[in-house]
Amino acid sequence: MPEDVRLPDDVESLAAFLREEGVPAGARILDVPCGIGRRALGLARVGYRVTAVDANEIAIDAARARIPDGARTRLTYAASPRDPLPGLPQAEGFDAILCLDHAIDQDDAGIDAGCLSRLHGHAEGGCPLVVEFLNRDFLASRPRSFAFHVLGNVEQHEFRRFDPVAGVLHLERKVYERSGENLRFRTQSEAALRLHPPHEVGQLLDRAGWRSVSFYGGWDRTPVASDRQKLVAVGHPARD
Amino acid sequence: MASEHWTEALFLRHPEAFLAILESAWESGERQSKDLHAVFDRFGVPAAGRVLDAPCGIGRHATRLGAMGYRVVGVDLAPVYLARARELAEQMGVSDRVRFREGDLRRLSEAFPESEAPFDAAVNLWTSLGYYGEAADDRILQEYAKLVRPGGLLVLSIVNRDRVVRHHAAQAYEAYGDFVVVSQERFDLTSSGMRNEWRFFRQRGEDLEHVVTVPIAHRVYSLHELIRLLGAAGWQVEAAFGGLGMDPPSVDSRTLVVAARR
Repeated sequence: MPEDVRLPDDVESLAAFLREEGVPAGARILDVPCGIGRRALGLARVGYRVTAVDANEIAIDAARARIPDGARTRLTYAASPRDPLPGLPQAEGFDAILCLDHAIDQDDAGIDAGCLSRLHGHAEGGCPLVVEFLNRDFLASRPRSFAFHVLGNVEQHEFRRFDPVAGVLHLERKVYERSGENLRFRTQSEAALRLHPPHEVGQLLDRAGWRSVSFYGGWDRTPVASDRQKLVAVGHPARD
Repeated sequence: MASEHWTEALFLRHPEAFLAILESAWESGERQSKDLHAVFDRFGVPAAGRVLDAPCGIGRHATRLGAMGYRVVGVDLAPVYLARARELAEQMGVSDRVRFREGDLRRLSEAFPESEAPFDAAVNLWTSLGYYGEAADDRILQEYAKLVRPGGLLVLSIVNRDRVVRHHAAQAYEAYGDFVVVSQERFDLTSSGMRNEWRFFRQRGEDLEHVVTVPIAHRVYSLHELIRLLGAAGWQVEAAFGGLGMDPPSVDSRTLVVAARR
């Protein structure tokens, strides 16, 4: 039985979005890449049967360790090499496929064109492909070169630089430990995110066999606008 | 300590932190002083006229204006900045035309002997108004009026409230020499007040060693408010610009520059 649980707001919004797409509780969902499975877990708790895949084995191990008993029968985690994500048997079919957290066309753990095509083979019926991605126009029109976040005694400094020629957002993160008011450097990392305006995401999906693509300004289905930080694209499998 | 105004924390208790910012802005004084010179010319300030620069910081404009032939008095709250200003004036060979005095904007006319006034022009630059609230700004503008001769000029350069509404950066990281400032800004629409927190650090290798955290609160103005404020304090606004380069003002101008005549 689905649990009577309160989900984080964004997962609740995602579940509502799926129901409106004609994907009711009990339906089979593929979530790739799933990271540590935060949303896969939430969807399983409200009754979806979820298979969640990621190339990061450590993330998958962490996700498996967090499955509550109530969701165990409806949630399957799998690690797969990035090529060939999702790495599932060809016969395995789904009623909806999710590609969240700006994973499309990214280098590391993300989804490339080959994966988008392979996902097509796991779509059954009108199975929607739901893609969540950062809104290039939001980030390009609001250049914000720095942000800091504090979580407990950890402070992260994020330096951002958008390269409009390559369409890439470069992120450099420095993590400090707060010691009184001093900041002790702990580690740093870099990331480069390719950003696409909606029409390019549409083209990427089209080339991989996903058609009739709709775009939204969020899970609430507001229209696409430059002041929305994340956008949602929904495509359906070409049948030809 | 609870009653300490942020200007005291920033300029008097920890002057070294903001000094790093002033030093990093030193070069910009060259261009800005040339622009000021053009503003003075346009509004009839005589070539070797007397100019009041308050607050003057380390004198990045006062010294340049002195080098152009003006006779300048710079006033600032912070003895540390005045000492540095005198040193720089000495290096530039303008000490005979540029003097520095310690003083508070709210009591500006008490800062120096009457013989140094009246001035042909006064300048208040780099958003140096709004620190003590609107009523105090009215008094401060009256103080300038006491010191400038009838027909003399006041040039005000201050951050543009309308630009803040559209573009203010919530968080910023700036390095000045080995100082780092991590700031968190909040703009309160109902009071038109910036409520910022600036954390000053010194770089120690990759670590950031805390120096001081200053809550910086100041009123920001839209152009029509500045014009009203100046009018109430006895100034007739001659022209308003979107910067010292005398571009037309717009809601997107970073700074508003107002030239007013006494």
